[in-house]
Amino acid sequence: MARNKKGTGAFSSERRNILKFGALSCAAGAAGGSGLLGLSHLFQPTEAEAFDVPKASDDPFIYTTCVNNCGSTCVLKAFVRNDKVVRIETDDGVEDDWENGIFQIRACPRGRSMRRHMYSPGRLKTPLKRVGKRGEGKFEPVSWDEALDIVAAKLKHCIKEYGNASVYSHYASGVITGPMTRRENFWRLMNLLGGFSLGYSDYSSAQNQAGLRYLYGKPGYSGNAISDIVHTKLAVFFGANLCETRSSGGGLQYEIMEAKRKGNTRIIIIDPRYTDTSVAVADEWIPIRPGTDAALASALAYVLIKENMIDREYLNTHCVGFDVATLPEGAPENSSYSDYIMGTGYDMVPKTPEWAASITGIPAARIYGLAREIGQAKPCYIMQGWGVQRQAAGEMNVMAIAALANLTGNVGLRGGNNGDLDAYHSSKTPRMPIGQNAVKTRFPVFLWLKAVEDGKSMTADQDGIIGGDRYPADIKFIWNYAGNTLINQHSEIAETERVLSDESKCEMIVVMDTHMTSSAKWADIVLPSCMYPEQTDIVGPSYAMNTDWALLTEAVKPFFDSRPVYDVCVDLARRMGVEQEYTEGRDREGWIEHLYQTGTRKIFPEMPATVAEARKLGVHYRAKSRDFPVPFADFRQDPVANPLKTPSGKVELYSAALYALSQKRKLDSNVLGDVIPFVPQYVPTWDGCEDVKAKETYPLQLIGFHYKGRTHSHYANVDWLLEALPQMVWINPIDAAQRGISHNDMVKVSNERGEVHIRAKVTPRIIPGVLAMGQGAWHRPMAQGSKVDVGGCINTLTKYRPTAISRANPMHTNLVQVDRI
Amino acid sequence: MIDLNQELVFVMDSSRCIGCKTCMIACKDKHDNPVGVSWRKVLECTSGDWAQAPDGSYTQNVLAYYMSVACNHCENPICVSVCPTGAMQIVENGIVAIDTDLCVGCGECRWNCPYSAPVLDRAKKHMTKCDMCRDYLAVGKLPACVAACPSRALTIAPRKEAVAKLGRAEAAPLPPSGLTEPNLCLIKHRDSLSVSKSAAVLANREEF
Amino acid sequence: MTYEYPLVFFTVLGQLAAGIALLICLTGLQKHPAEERRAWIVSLATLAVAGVSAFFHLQSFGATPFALSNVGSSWLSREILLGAIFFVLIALRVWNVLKAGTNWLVGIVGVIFVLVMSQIYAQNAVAPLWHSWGPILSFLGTMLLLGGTAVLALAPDAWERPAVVAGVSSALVGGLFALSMPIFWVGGVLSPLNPVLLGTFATATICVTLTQMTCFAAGGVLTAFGVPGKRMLAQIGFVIILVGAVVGRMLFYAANIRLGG
Repeated sequence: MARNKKGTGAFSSERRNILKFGALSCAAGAAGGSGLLGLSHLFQPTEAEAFDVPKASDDPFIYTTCVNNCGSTCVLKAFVRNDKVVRIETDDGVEDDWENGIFQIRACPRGRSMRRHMYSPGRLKTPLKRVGKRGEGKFEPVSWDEALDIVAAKLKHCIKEYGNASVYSHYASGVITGPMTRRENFWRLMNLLGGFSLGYSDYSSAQNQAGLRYLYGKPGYSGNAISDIVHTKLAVFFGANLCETRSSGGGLQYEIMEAKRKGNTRIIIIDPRYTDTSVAVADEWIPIRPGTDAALASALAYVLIKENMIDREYLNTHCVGFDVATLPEGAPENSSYSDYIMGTGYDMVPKTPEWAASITGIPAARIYGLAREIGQAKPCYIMQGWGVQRQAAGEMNVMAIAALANLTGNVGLRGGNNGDLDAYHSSKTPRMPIGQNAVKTRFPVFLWLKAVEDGKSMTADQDGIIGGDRYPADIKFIWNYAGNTLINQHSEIAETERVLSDESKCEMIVVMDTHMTSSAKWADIVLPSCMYPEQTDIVGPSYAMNTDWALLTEAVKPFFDSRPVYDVCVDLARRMGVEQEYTEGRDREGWIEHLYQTGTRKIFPEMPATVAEARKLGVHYRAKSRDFPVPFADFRQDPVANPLKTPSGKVELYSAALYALSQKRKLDSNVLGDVIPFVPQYVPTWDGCEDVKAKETYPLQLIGFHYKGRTHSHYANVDWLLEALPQMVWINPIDAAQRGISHNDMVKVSNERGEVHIRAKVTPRIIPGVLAMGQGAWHRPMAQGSKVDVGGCINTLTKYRPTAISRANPMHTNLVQVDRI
Repeated sequence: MIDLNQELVFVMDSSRCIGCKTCMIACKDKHDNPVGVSWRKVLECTSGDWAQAPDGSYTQNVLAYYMSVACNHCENPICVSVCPTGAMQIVENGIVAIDTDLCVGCGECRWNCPYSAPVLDRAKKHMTKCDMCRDYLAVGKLPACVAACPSRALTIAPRKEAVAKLGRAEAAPLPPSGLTEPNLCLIKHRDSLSVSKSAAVLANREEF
Repeated sequence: MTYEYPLVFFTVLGQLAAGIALLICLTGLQKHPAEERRAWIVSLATLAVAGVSAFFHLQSFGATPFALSNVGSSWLSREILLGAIFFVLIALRVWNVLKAGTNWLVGIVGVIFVLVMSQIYAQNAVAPLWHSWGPILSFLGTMLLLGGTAVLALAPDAWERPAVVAGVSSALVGGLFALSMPIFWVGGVLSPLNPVLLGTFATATICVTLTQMTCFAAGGVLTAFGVPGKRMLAQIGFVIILVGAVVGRMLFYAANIRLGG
């Protein structure tokens, strides 16, 4: 037998001969009459000598990272052979010690698939210039010089002809940590050229930020740390799917697992889906119809008030507008929060559990019970995720949930919470200094497409423009680095395509990315970017972590002609005549040294004196107690001495600012839910569960969720991940049976905006009447311009209709129909 | 860390598993396995019914949990006894591994393994399966899946002690442990169902 | 669903070869050497094709010489061994090294070969569908049914001989009986399965069973018309029945529904 064994050297010729002999003698023995029916164990298997243990490869590794927008940063060890990453491992530098805040920052499946991601077929190799119509996806390779000459010329043209406000750096979150890799590199350049246009807020939590600014004067990121559940016996989560969204082993998933065990805390999760967070940590799941959290919160408030389980003293001293006693001057009559709840407000409907049961889908008895549980637990940790607010009137869900924390007086207490998500307490990683942006006027980021189509029509009153009354320009130049919000992650893809396909509106779209994303297909110039393991940088915990650590990453050889964004911005700066100002005489390593000394070592003085030494060290961790400062604790102790940043200095259950906005802003009375209430309340909306008219054609609600196989649209094309975590639409067996849909069937999910072809996951883990589709799958139209998407992208079906209050994204408010294909 | 040069078991703490599948990807990366070859699988168990009240509200008894399973390096490895060529062997420290030069790829091992652990790699033209990362164990490193688990649900432990303490894994959607005596210990999820429900509650066959 | 075509043909044709060998004994065909010799040649050729087909199931052939290593515990090793012995015995008969008096030995080895073959599938991992009397009954049934009809196709004129009538009739009755037995417990076997899975499987089962029954009925009718000397009809009937057996065997492999996924 010819054998060709490479590498392991496991086989010796002697052993082969023994095996051969063994086989022959055995065959002879068997021919002698053994091996008959039923005698299976008469003979034992041939005693073969154990083959040698394969030798573990001894490739060297570099420290690198996965820093996309999941809120965590993870540590990767990339093993390198012939300038290519051949294997990925994760952090193993410390023993886990959760209570002191030091634990392994283990990557989730996304980070672990980095190698496959880096060398996947869709990876961009060279700069590309569009040759077909915009969006057609036809490009020809060009040199870096040619590509950057085109970009620089157009940049000069747009600044000169339309002003700096016409140059827009699009919302993108593909890189969240690392000064040399983040989007500030371009911002620094643009500020040297007289400024640029930037949206404010984001697609993640815009309505949370807005709602909580009205309520607490602080735009979100304001809750007690998740580890605070150690100090309470009851935690109630509205949404909040930490185990899928923040699945890093160095992040909140691990923290909630440990905190629940240590505190023996009962956790109730209210969510349309039985999420993996429910699987892992919930003691009870209360399924709810999407968009009705405010109805549940109002009914809970009703029981709390009716059964006198509210903290009346706190409400009188710390809040305005709970009832008439604290209603500010100028407020309409009967407009207090308790008027709305108890049925003496504008609609004269008491918000009883029976009222809420038919809206939310939660039995009235369970609402009574939940209210009593919340009312009797002292303290009670009431928290909300960001899914509840990505709705057509999501601001109200945010405020109504937070109102519960005030009714029960849980704000500013250890083990309590103000109703918001974790405020986060991580060490800061330095960022590239950006200087001053001379363009002060900004629009809500969700309105960027309107700014492309008709930016000059946008006003403060109507569109929420800040820093001016009116937006000064139409967007003519889009720089889109490390982001897929140009097409994939923005609502209503057909509408986005309509606006972008008009080349007289936006004249130049530059996409710099690592892969041919669905956004990159719409670029005029595509620039291939290095991935994290291909560039050196400084990283540390991302925004949604509660730990202190730092790491100086190393790099492997870039893929083909891909380049780091910093280097590209230097080349652009040279063409724009500001190279010296941009670089300040430093090269990349010079900047890293500079930022390390002025940033990292300010926070971690104990770190080595030089970057070179720090790189040798690997991950630097610093211990920290899991008891973090309690947000609003000073306000709780003395609201007069420590007022909030609201107009009244108190928690505004009645918001005079919202009342003022409601008087100024013109709303469309034909659109259900296009209203601006000024106390937290339930608002039935278009495409919501109470949109009876639309439900005649499209009877099912559709929500998106953060899928564990991707971070938004990042990693969406990695075949290993798609195999283990396929893109499917969740459907309850009741809805599936009505339509003859079986598990894993191909179905079409459709509404008037488009159609998605996708496989069905028939599972009782979702409430009947609701479909759920992981957001972020790459849009793949069946043909150019087709409204049929076979990629499973939910934004084929979402609506580009900004919310009334914050002009934010309502991506979980959709009605659809589903059928077998 | 425990001594890795001894007989070991995988310990699956189902009460901690978030179903993220990092173990599957880490395994694929370490062993360079293509799509279609997954040595480790995260099984999803789901069960529950819904009832609607006249007011439109719902009651339900839904439960779900995950379990990560690969080759369990069984005490009584049926794969070893059914293999016609003797390619499947018990090697050092009770690890069951394939001598790939002896494997003809007949698939008997996969058919007979109640955990379907051996997987055919069509490109390599032989069966493949988890070998507990014996190359890593030999140099004092944890198996890739264990070192990867973000929720610390998957660990390894000395075989005799762990089996004495926790018994052999016996819960849906696994087969009864008596078939092969798997060296897999299970810390059960709060909603764990009995093995008699195994065939009915496995919810994610399409994922591996 | 995977159908394992190499094994479908290996098992069905292997059983056909064994059926012919058995029927040669049962019908006393040795009294008509020309017919007998033709039957042995067909049996040998069938088994050869079966063996070649089995090779397509393997991924690599380098280690095939070791395939008998585990005959002490592996039913697959035993199957290969019995197949080889059976093949050699038939060949010896074809070339008349063994005399007609040893026909009974060849027939019995063929039956043992089929029984050993069935043991490969009597395994816990594919419980409950394979771990039952199903494989034995279906393999023996196929052997008898195909053996009986094959003899009729090979020697349609022999129907007038009482030994042939007796032998073939009992083979056909026994075969159909064995093949229909599993119907009585298949419901109980399927009930613990996931309803979704069951749905897909049940649909396939119904389709396949109907196809198979149609084949058997059509083949039976043709054979019945063919036996009084119309060789062509009898042969077409046999082929249709063979197709039915192949279709049924495809379902058998598709029913490899595993416990743990």
